Amino acid sequence: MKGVRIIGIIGLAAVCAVPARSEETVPAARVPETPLVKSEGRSAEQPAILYQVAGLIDQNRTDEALALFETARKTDKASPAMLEYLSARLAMAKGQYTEALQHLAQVTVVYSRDTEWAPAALFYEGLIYKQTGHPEAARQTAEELLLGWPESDWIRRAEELK
Amino acid sequence: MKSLLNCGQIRRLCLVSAVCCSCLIPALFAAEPGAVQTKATSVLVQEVQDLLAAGSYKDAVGYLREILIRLESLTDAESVAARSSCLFQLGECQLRSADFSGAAASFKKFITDYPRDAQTPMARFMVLESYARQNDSAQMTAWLAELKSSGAFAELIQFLNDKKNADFRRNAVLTLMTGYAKLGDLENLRAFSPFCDESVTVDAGFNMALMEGGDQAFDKGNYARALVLYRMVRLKDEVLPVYNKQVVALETALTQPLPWVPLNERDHQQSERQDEQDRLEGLKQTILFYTDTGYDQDLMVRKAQCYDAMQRYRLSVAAYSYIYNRFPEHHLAEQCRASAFQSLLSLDDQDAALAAGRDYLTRYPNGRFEDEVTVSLMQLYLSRGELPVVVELGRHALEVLPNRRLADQITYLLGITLLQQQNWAPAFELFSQVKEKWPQSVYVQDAAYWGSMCYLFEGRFKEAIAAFNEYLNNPAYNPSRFAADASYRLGVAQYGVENFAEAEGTFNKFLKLYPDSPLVSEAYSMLGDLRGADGELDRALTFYQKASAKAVDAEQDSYAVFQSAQTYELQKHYTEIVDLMKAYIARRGVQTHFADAGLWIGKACKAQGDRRQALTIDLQMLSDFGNDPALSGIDQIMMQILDDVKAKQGADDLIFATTRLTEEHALARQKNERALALRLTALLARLSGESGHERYANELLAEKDMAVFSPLPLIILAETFAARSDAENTGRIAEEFKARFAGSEQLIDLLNIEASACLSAQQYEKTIALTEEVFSRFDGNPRAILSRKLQADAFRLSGNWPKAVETYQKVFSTRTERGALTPETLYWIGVCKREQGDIEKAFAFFQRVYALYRSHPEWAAKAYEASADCLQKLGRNDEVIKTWKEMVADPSIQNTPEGLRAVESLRRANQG
Repeated sequence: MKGVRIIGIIGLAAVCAVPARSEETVPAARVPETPLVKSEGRSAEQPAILYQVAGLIDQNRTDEALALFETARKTDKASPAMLEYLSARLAMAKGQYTEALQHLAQVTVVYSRDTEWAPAALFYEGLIYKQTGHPEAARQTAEELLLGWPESDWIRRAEELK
Repeated sequence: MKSLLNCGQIRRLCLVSAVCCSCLIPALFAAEPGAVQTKATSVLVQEVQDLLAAGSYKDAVGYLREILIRLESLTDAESVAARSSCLFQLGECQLRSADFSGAAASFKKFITDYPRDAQTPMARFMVLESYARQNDSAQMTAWLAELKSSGAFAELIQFLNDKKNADFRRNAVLTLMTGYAKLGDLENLRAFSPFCDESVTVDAGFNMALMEGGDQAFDKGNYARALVLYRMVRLKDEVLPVYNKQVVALETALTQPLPWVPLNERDHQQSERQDEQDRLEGLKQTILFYTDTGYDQDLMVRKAQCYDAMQRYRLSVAAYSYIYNRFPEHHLAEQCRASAFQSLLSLDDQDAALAAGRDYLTRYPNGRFEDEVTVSLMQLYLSRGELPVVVELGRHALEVLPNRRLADQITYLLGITLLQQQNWAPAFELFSQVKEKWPQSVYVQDAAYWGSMCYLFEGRFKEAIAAFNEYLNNPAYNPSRFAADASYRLGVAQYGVENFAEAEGTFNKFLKLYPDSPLVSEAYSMLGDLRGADGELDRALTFYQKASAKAVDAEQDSYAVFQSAQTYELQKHYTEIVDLMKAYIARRGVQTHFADAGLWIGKACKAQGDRRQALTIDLQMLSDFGNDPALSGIDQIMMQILDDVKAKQGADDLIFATTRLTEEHALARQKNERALALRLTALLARLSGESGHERYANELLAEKDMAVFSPLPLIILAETFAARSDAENTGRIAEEFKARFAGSEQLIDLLNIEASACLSAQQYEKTIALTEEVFSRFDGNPRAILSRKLQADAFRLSGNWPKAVETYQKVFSTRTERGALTPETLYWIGVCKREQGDIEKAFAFFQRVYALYRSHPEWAAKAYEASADCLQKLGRNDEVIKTWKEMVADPSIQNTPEGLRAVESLRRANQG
């Protein structure tokens, strides 16, 4: 007799009972005095060398950018948002998209009001989604960029994400 | 907000009303007391003044309306001024009494009636405020558009910019912004944000409104808008310093004694102080709220949920992990860990998800989401085939809390897992439990079906027939999720009890009822098997053809194709077999079962006396599909080519194969098909023997990208390094092989090569460890005897003679063609015995080698020499001479190093 094969053995829908929204009223609890999100509007003045790094990345001179970045990142003046952004761009240049997204997530989540780097981070996040075959996430990111940063130069490139 | 009707205006109103009194119709005074229409205007004015002072704005509305009616026909300047003031006051009272549409209408009438009045810009703003209070964004937007088109917008902005209106602006802009925030109206929020000072942006009500607006946008699926609104919410550290400063200022003011005021103003003064006291309390409450709640964390969770909904899972993971890493004791940390786990699952970042899920269960053994995390983890492990872990997780969860919330689901998943482990009876038991313990569970129907399948898999066909019939006839399972599958399986069970007629009927019924089922192909194959078994080969072939046509995957197609081939073989239709396989390969491409297809082609060609055709087709398959280094079927085809060429041992076939391979190799290089080129290089290296091996090995060494290597090229590369006693590089290749081809049949060869390299490098412990790995992974594989020999060598070379002998003897425990391994093993046992001082036994082993395995002169020669040595040690010198003479007399031995030494020994003995 021929063998019997199991077809569609797992018919379970994905289980996710974690509430969709945080509806609970927050009871009294001691919260550490650590700021949850950095709220500066625009990053402090950045060392020019970091802008050179950004320029080298744009010119696809990744190795030079990486070498310069390793030196420049040690300076005290570098803003964390910019460092995360540049780390993401370097990772992207090497095709390390997961690592790039992790850095971009830091900019978007932790430094969400940084007018210089937050919109740029959103654009590249969307670009990664587009390049890695996640069009819906790319579209959503473009929408956030357009809605959230209408005054930013990056919205001119938002169409690239759609 | 204070009354906008100032003292001067009231006085003016009173004056106007006094003027009016003289000319009002007497009928008004005849009205009933209490009804505004019946009251004298002066009374109305006095009473409305009192009402306004008492804050009874709703009651004041009627009075103001009546006054407006009485002033309507008067056209003198003062009356007009009084009327404008009254109309504005009416709008404000309506606003204060929550009659927003009425207020908007009053202010609009004011603007129309008194376009040049000083209050008009404010009235324009009040219209907006009325709509904002009404949460009517459409009206707000329309009004702003109207202002823009009429050119009044600039005036409105100018009004807001006027420093004189700072106090008003703060209140008004706050009202507007709060209204826009609640509506999630980003465009208008932006338009008015330049007028927001810090007191507006940190206002608790405004921030709550932003949250509310964000929530509403989220609920409507406008996640980007929700995120932008959430981002505008001020955080605790931005808000608290402002509030603390205000508290200090208020407390300082409240500690100051009240200044003297006339007696009639004392109440008002007290009221103002109470207002300030209330404001202070309110501020303290707000500070407490920001300090003691998880305000910021809650906001972050909302953002994370937006990212989840937008499928931007890396960001949601970052947001969730930010909370639980920075605030591990916060009550939201648990939820965030569970949510991050789900986000990682959505990302299909399995390793990270497993770590996160495990971490959650360790941290929160009785956590709120323990059931969900357990079930999701079980599913993930199940999908990875890590079945023992699924069982461990499920069993542990049910032991700790048998009636947990998702116990039915966990039990069902356990059943599915045991089913996959082929533990039919325990799986059946679990499915029965689901049906009995949780009859309302959504998994009951699934459990019933899979329970029936357990019987089928177990070969308990009668029980399976009963179970499938019960499933199919149970009205509770309507709509039935497995009706088609169960119908087909019923036929299989009937086939199992050899009730072929009934089975055939069931398959036909199934095909009629469920023509679109993915099992249709299998049903046709079963019908083919039934007809074939009855000798109706042509009908069988027709069914197999239908099965192929209806196949939904390569498995179903392959089954039908190979059954057809078997049928053709019975009919001796070999050309059809070759054509069938060619069509199958063309149809299925990389999904082809290459090894089986190659075998059938070989068999059919051999039967037709055309072996070269088989070789040609194999080579074609290799060149068509060989550029994928991970396609294991092609590895098998390569082995078939090697076996085929070697088995024929004909120079023509070797030349033919080598020529074709060389041509394909050049073509692959030209097309930059590097993986294919490497496969071909490896085959050429194998076929060229010693002569060309070096050249091809160097080609393999020149390729630096390990990703294009398939198993055979890696093996030849490892052999090359091992031959150079380069254990390090051999190990590196072995690691690459294990990482990418852990399931390859050739892994055992690679482990043997690695063990051999380690042995040459005197790394005996590693040799033993590697050979143990072979025994644990490839128990019973004939090629493991080489591993036994290598392990024994390692023991011998490390001086562990008893263990070496014991291990050498295990070489003989596997029944297989051992070739030169037998004399070699016997020889080394002899050596070990000699080292242990057991010369007689050693001699016996050496004797066996040259007596029984003279066809392996390299070992026979060594054994002869070792025998002579033993005989010398035993003092049997005559036999020593005899042994040397035998060596010298044997043409296959006399020229070996041992043979030449025997000649020399004989010469010396003769001289002596």
